[in-house]
Amino acid sequence: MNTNYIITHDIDWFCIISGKPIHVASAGGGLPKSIKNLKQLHDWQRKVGEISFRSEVELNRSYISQNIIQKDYNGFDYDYFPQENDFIIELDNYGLNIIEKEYYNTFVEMAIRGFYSFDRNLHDEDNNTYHIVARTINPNRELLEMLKESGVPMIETSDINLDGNMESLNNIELVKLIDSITDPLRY
Amino acid sequence: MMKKKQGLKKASPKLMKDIDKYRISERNKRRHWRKKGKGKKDYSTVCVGVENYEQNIQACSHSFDIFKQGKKYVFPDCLKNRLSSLGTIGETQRGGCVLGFCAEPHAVKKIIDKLKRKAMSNKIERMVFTKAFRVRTGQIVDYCYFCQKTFRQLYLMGHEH
Repeated sequence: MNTNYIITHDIDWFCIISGKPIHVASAGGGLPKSIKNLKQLHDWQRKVGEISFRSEVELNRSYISQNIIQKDYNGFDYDYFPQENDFIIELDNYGLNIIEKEYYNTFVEMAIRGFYSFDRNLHDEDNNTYHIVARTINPNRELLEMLKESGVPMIETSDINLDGNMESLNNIELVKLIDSITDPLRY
Repeated sequence: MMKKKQGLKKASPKLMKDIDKYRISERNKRRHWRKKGKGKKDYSTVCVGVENYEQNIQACSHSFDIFKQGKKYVFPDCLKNRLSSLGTIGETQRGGCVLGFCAEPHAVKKIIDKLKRKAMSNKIERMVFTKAFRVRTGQIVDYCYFCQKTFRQLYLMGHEH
Protein backbone atom coordinates (compact mmCIF):
# COMPACT_ATOMS: atom_id res chain seq x y z
CA MET A 1 0.00 0.00 0.00
CA ASN A 2 1.33 3.44 -0.96
CA THR A 3 2.52 5.06 2.29
CA ASN A 4 2.48 8.56 0.83
CA TYR A 5 -1.17 8.14 -0.12
CA ILE A 6 -2.10 6.90 3.34
CA ILE A 7 -0.34 9.83 5.07
CA THR A 8 -2.01 12.48 2.89
CA HIS A 9 -5.53 11.03 2.98
CA ASP A 10 -8.27 10.50 5.53
CA ILE A 11 -9.44 7.03 4.55
CA ASP A 12 -12.53 5.03 5.54
CA TRP A 13 -11.50 1.46 6.28
CA PHE A 14 -13.28 -1.51 7.75
CA CYS A 15 -12.76 -4.65 9.79
CA ILE A 16 -14.68 -7.12 11.95
CA ILE A 17 -13.84 -7.39 15.64
CA SER A 18 -15.50 -10.15 17.63
CA GLY A 19 -18.31 -10.37 15.13
CA LYS A 20 -19.00 -6.62 15.02
CA PRO A 21 -18.58 -4.51 11.86
CA ILE A 22 -16.10 -1.69 12.48
CA HIS A 23 -15.64 1.52 10.50
CA VAL A 24 -12.54 3.63 11.05
CA ALA A 25 -11.56 7.10 9.78
CA SER A 26 -7.80 7.06 9.39
CA ALA A 27 -7.05 10.83 9.51
CA GLY A 28 -3.67 10.22 7.91
CA GLY A 29 -2.83 7.37 10.24
CA GLY A 30 -1.63 3.93 9.22
CA LEU A 31 -3.86 1.08 8.06
CA PRO A 32 -3.66 -2.57 9.15
CA LYS A 33 -1.10 -4.60 7.19
CA SER A 34 -3.80 -7.03 6.16
CA ILE A 35 -5.45 -4.36 3.98
CA LYS A 36 -3.51 -5.10 0.80
CA ASN A 37 -4.31 -2.34 -1.63
CA LEU A 38 -6.42 0.70 -2.40
CA LYS A 39 -8.52 -1.00 -5.07
CA GLN A 40 -9.72 -3.54 -2.53
CA LEU A 41 -10.43 -0.80 0.00
CA HIS A 42 -12.39 1.34 -2.45
CA ASP A 43 -14.40 -1.70 -3.48
CA TRP A 44 -15.42 -2.17 0.16
CA GLN A 45 -16.35 1.51 0.40
CA ARG A 46 -18.56 1.19 -2.68
CA LYS A 47 -20.34 -1.86 -1.30
CA VAL A 48 -20.89 -0.18 2.08
CA GLY A 49 -22.36 2.82 0.30
CA GLU A 50 -25.02 0.55 -1.22
CA ILE A 51 -26.29 -0.70 2.15
CA SER A 52 -29.83 0.55 2.69
CA PHE A 53 -30.28 -0.69 6.29
CA ARG A 54 -30.95 2.06 8.83
CA SER A 55 -30.54 1.69 12.58
CA GLU A 56 -30.83 3.82 15.69
CA VAL A 57 -27.40 4.82 16.95
CA GLU A 58 -25.73 5.78 20.18
CA LEU A 59 -23.29 8.72 20.22
CA ASN A 60 -20.20 9.12 22.39
CA ARG A 61 -21.35 12.61 23.32
CA SER A 62 -19.61 13.21 26.60
CA TYR A 63 -16.10 12.37 25.35
CA ILE A 64 -16.54 14.12 22.01
CA SER A 65 -18.03 17.24 23.57
CA GLN A 66 -15.13 17.65 26.01
CA ASN A 67 -12.23 16.46 23.87
CA ILE A 68 -13.20 17.36 20.32
CA ILE A 69 -15.93 20.00 20.08
CA GLN A 70 -14.53 22.18 22.86
CA LYS A 71 -10.86 21.71 21.93
CA ASP A 72 -10.66 21.24 18.17
CA TYR A 73 -13.18 23.95 17.33
CA ASN A 74 -12.00 26.39 20.00
CA GLY A 75 -11.53 29.84 18.50
CA PHE A 76 -13.53 28.85 15.46
CA ASP A 77 -15.11 31.79 13.70
CA TYR A 78 -18.75 30.76 13.38
CA ASP A 79 -19.48 33.48 10.84
CA TYR A 80 -17.45 31.61 8.27
CA PHE A 81 -18.63 28.12 9.07
CA PRO A 82 -20.72 26.55 6.33
CA GLN A 83 -24.36 27.43 6.56
CA GLU A 84 -25.48 24.93 3.96
CA ASN A 85 -27.43 22.06 5.33
CA ASP A 86 -25.95 18.98 3.71
CA PHE A 87 -25.91 16.67 6.67
CA ILE A 88 -27.74 13.36 6.83
CA ILE A 89 -31.33 13.67 8.06
CA GLU A 90 -30.77 11.28 10.94
CA LEU A 91 -28.58 13.85 12.70
CA ASP A 92 -31.70 15.93 13.38
CA ASN A 93 -32.75 13.34 15.96
CA TYR A 94 -29.95 14.19 18.39
CA GLY A 95 -30.30 17.91 19.10
CA LEU A 96 -26.85 18.75 17.72
CA ASN A 97 -25.60 22.21 16.79
CA ILE A 98 -24.03 22.80 13.38
CA ILE A 99 -20.47 22.22 14.60
CA GLU A 100 -21.43 18.90 16.15
CA LYS A 101 -23.28 17.88 12.98
CA GLU A 102 -20.19 18.65 10.90
CA TYR A 103 -18.12 16.37 13.13
CA TYR A 104 -20.58 13.52 13.58
CA ASN A 105 -21.90 13.37 10.00
CA THR A 106 -19.53 10.77 8.49
CA PHE A 107 -19.56 8.57 11.55
CA VAL A 108 -23.31 8.50 12.08
CA GLU A 109 -23.67 7.81 8.37
CA MET A 110 -21.75 4.59 9.00
CA ALA A 111 -23.30 3.73 12.36
CA ILE A 112 -26.85 3.83 10.96
CA ARG A 113 -25.76 1.14 8.49
CA GLY A 114 -24.77 -1.14 11.34
CA PHE A 115 -21.18 -0.11 12.15
CA TYR A 116 -19.25 0.71 15.29
CA SER A 117 -17.62 3.88 13.95
CA PHE A 118 -14.22 5.05 15.18
CA ASP A 119 -12.12 8.13 14.60
CA ARG A 120 -8.43 8.71 15.13
CA ASN A 121 -7.24 10.79 18.08
CA LEU A 122 -5.60 13.70 16.26
CA HIS A 123 -3.45 14.82 19.18
CA ASP A 124 -1.94 11.44 19.94
CA GLU A 125 0.48 11.02 17.02
CA ASP A 126 2.95 8.88 18.96
CA ASN A 127 0.47 6.19 19.92
CA ASN A 128 -1.98 6.12 16.99
CA THR A 129 -5.11 5.61 19.10
CA TYR A 130 -8.78 5.77 18.20
CA HIS A 131 -12.04 6.64 19.95
CA ILE A 132 -15.57 5.52 19.24
CA VAL A 133 -17.83 8.20 17.80
CA ALA A 134 -21.11 6.35 17.19
CA ARG A 135 -22.33 2.77 17.31
CA THR A 136 -25.33 0.96 16.01
CA ILE A 137 -28.04 -0.25 18.36
CA ASN A 138 -29.43 -2.84 15.93
CA PRO A 139 -27.16 -5.48 14.36
CA ASN A 140 -27.11 -5.70 10.56
CA ARG A 141 -26.50 -9.28 9.45
CA GLU A 142 -26.45 -8.31 5.77
CA LEU A 143 -23.57 -5.92 6.43
CA LEU A 144 -21.64 -8.48 8.43
CA GLU A 145 -21.99 -11.14 5.73
CA MET A 146 -21.00 -8.70 3.01
CA LEU A 147 -17.87 -7.67 4.90
CA LYS A 148 -16.92 -11.30 5.56
CA GLU A 149 -17.34 -12.22 1.91
CA SER A 150 -15.31 -9.17 0.88
CA GLY A 151 -12.35 -10.31 2.97
CA VAL A 152 -12.01 -7.40 5.42
CA PRO A 153 -9.61 -8.05 8.33
CA MET A 154 -11.37 -10.14 10.95
CA ILE A 155 -10.25 -10.79 14.52
CA GLU A 156 -11.57 -12.18 17.77
CA THR A 157 -10.42 -10.52 20.98
CA SER A 158 -11.50 -10.04 24.57
CA ASP A 159 -9.33 -6.91 24.90
CA ILE A 160 -12.21 -4.58 24.08
CA ASN A 161 -15.93 -4.72 24.75
CA LEU A 162 -17.62 -2.93 21.86
CA ASP A 163 -21.04 -2.95 23.52
CA GLY A 164 -19.76 -1.90 26.95
CA ASN A 165 -19.15 1.50 28.48
CA MET A 166 -18.08 3.94 25.77
CA GLU A 167 -15.39 5.36 28.05
CA SER A 168 -13.46 2.13 27.57
CA LEU A 169 -13.42 2.74 23.81
CA ASN A 170 -11.73 6.17 23.82
CA ASN A 171 -8.06 5.20 23.45
CA ILE A 172 -7.84 2.01 21.43
CA GLU A 173 -4.73 1.09 19.45
CA LEU A 174 -6.91 -0.41 16.72
CA VAL A 175 -4.29 -0.90 14.02
CA LYS A 176 -1.82 -2.45 16.43
CA LEU A 177 -4.54 -4.73 17.83
CA ILE A 178 -5.53 -5.97 14.40
CA ASP A 179 -1.93 -6.40 13.24
CA SER A 180 -0.93 -8.26 16.39
CA ILE A 181 -3.64 -10.85 15.83
CA THR A 182 -3.56 -11.13 12.03
CA ASP A 183 0.25 -11.08 11.94
CA PRO A 184 1.37 -12.48 15.32
CA LEU A 185 4.94 -13.18 14.18
CA ARG A 186 5.55 -9.42 14.11
CA TYR A 187 4.77 -9.24 17.80
CA MET B 1 12.75 54.43 22.45
CA MET B 2 11.10 51.06 22.80
CA LYS B 3 9.39 49.67 19.74
CA LYS B 4 5.74 48.82 20.17
CA LYS B 5 5.32 45.04 20.17
CA GLN B 6 3.05 43.96 17.33
CA GLY B 7 0.78 40.96 17.59
CA LEU B 8 0.46 38.39 14.83
CA LYS B 9 -1.78 39.47 11.97
CA LYS B 10 -4.97 37.48 11.63
CA ALA B 11 -6.36 36.10 8.40
CA SER B 12 -8.62 38.55 6.58
CA PRO B 13 -12.37 37.91 6.27
CA LYS B 14 -11.87 37.18 2.57
CA LEU B 15 -9.31 34.47 3.31
CA MET B 16 -11.51 32.98 6.01
CA LYS B 17 -14.38 32.70 3.51
CA ASP B 18 -12.01 31.27 0.90
CA ILE B 19 -10.68 28.51 3.15
CA ASP B 20 -14.17 27.68 4.33
CA LYS B 21 -15.37 27.27 0.73
CA TYR B 22 -12.20 25.37 -0.16
CA ARG B 23 -12.60 22.88 2.66
CA ILE B 24 -16.27 22.26 1.85
CA SER B 25 -15.38 21.81 -1.82
CA GLU B 26 -12.66 19.27 -0.94
CA ARG B 27 -14.96 17.51 1.50
CA ASN B 28 -17.72 17.27 -1.10
CA LYS B 29 -15.40 15.73 -3.71
CA ARG B 30 -15.40 12.61 -1.57
CA ARG B 31 -19.17 12.69 -1.18
CA HIS B 32 -19.66 13.13 -4.92
CA TRP B 33 -17.44 10.12 -5.55
CA ARG B 34 -19.69 7.95 -3.39
CA LYS B 35 -22.87 9.20 -5.02
CA LYS B 36 -21.85 9.79 -8.63
CA GLY B 37 -18.49 8.11 -9.20
CA LYS B 38 -16.79 11.46 -9.82
CA GLY B 39 -14.51 13.33 -7.45
CA LYS B 40 -12.11 11.91 -4.90
CA LYS B 41 -12.16 8.40 -3.50
CA ASP B 42 -10.78 9.52 -0.14
CA TYR B 43 -10.69 12.81 1.76
CA SER B 44 -7.48 14.82 1.79
CA THR B 45 -6.32 15.09 5.39
CA VAL B 46 -5.78 18.81 5.94
CA CYS B 47 -6.23 22.17 4.19
CA VAL B 48 -5.01 25.66 4.98
CA GLY B 49 -5.23 29.19 3.59
CA VAL B 50 -2.49 31.81 3.33
CA GLU B 51 -2.31 35.38 2.12
CA ASN B 52 0.15 38.10 1.25
CA TYR B 53 -1.30 41.25 2.81
CA GLU B 54 0.64 43.79 0.75
CA GLN B 55 -0.49 42.46 -2.61
CA ASN B 56 -3.84 41.15 -1.32
CA ILE B 57 -3.29 37.69 -2.75
CA GLN B 58 -4.88 34.63 -1.15
CA ALA B 59 -4.38 30.93 -1.77
CA CYS B 60 -5.67 27.68 -0.28
CA SER B 61 -4.34 24.17 -0.57
CA HIS B 62 -4.61 20.69 0.87
CA SER B 63 -1.91 18.17 1.74
CA PHE B 64 -0.79 15.93 -1.12
CA ASP B 65 2.01 13.74 -2.43
CA ILE B 66 4.17 16.00 -4.61
CA PHE B 67 5.42 13.01 -6.63
CA LYS B 68 1.92 12.44 -7.91
CA GLN B 69 2.08 15.87 -9.55
CA GLY B 70 4.86 14.80 -11.88
CA LYS B 71 8.23 16.43 -12.51
CA LYS B 72 6.60 19.82 -13.09
CA TYR B 73 5.89 20.34 -9.40
CA VAL B 74 8.91 22.24 -8.09
CA PHE B 75 9.06 24.41 -4.99
CA PRO B 76 10.50 27.92 -5.56
CA ASP B 77 14.09 28.18 -4.33
CA CYS B 78 13.25 30.40 -1.35
CA LEU B 79 10.79 27.75 -0.11
CA LYS B 80 12.82 24.74 -1.23
CA ASN B 81 15.84 25.94 0.73
CA ARG B 82 13.81 26.28 3.91
CA LEU B 83 12.32 22.81 3.54
CA SER B 84 15.62 21.19 2.58
CA SER B 85 17.22 22.49 5.77
CA LEU B 86 14.92 20.08 7.64
CA GLY B 87 15.64 16.98 5.59
CA THR B 88 14.93 15.44 2.21
CA ILE B 89 11.74 16.69 0.57
CA GLY B 90 9.36 13.79 0.02
CA GLU B 91 11.30 11.42 2.25
CA THR B 92 12.01 12.74 5.73
CA GLN B 93 9.15 11.95 8.09
CA ARG B 94 8.24 13.15 11.58
CA GLY B 95 5.07 12.92 13.61
CA GLY B 96 3.15 11.30 10.76
CA CYS B 97 4.06 13.99 8.22
CA VAL B 98 6.31 13.86 5.19
CA LEU B 99 8.48 16.91 4.50
CA GLY B 100 7.00 18.90 1.64
CA PHE B 101 3.61 17.15 1.56
CA CYS B 102 1.78 19.52 3.90
CA ALA B 103 -0.89 21.97 2.81
CA GLU B 104 1.10 24.96 4.15
CA PRO B 105 4.06 24.89 1.70
CA HIS B 106 1.70 24.13 -1.18
CA ALA B 107 -0.42 27.19 -0.38
CA VAL B 108 2.68 29.38 -0.02
CA LYS B 109 3.97 28.08 -3.35
CA LYS B 110 0.73 29.23 -5.02
CA ILE B 111 1.25 32.76 -3.66
CA ILE B 112 4.91 32.89 -4.63
CA ASP B 113 4.03 31.71 -8.14
CA LYS B 114 1.48 34.52 -8.44
CA LEU B 115 3.96 37.09 -7.05
CA LYS B 116 6.63 36.10 -9.54
CA ARG B 117 4.28 36.79 -12.36
CA LYS B 118 3.83 40.26 -10.88
CA ALA B 119 7.59 40.60 -10.49
CA MET B 120 7.25 41.42 -6.79
CA SER B 121 9.59 40.23 -4.08
CA ASN B 122 8.27 37.43 -1.96
CA LYS B 123 8.43 37.71 1.80
CA ILE B 124 7.42 34.44 3.34
CA GLU B 125 7.74 35.88 6.84
CA ARG B 126 4.97 38.40 6.11
CA MET B 127 2.47 35.84 4.90
CA VAL B 128 -0.55 35.22 7.09
CA PHE B 129 -2.01 31.76 7.55
CA THR B 130 -5.41 30.53 8.60
CA LYS B 131 -5.53 27.70 11.07
CA ALA B 132 -5.19 24.25 9.48
CA PHE B 133 -8.45 22.33 9.13
CA ARG B 134 -9.24 18.67 8.80
CA VAL B 135 -11.12 18.38 5.50
CA ARG B 136 -13.58 15.70 6.67
CA THR B 137 -14.81 17.44 9.83
CA GLY B 138 -13.49 21.02 9.95
CA GLN B 139 -11.53 20.31 13.15
CA ILE B 140 -8.63 22.67 13.77
CA VAL B 141 -5.41 20.70 13.45
CA ASP B 142 -2.04 21.52 15.02
CA TYR B 143 0.67 22.72 12.67
CA CYS B 144 3.28 19.98 12.31
CA TYR B 145 6.93 20.21 13.30
CA PHE B 146 8.08 20.80 9.70
CA CYS B 147 5.64 23.65 9.12
CA GLN B 148 6.46 25.35 12.43
CA LYS B 149 10.15 25.23 11.54
CA THR B 150 9.62 26.36 7.95
CA PHE B 151 7.24 29.22 8.76
CA ARG B 152 8.09 30.97 12.02
CA GLN B 153 4.70 32.64 12.20
CA LEU B 154 3.12 29.17 12.58
CA TYR B 155 5.36 28.43 15.52
CA LEU B 156 4.31 31.73 17.10
CA MET B 157 0.62 31.06 16.37
CA GLY B 158 0.89 27.68 17.97
CA HIS B 159 2.37 29.19 21.11
CA GLU B 160 0.24 32.32 21.24
CA HIS B 161 -1.90 31.38 24.25
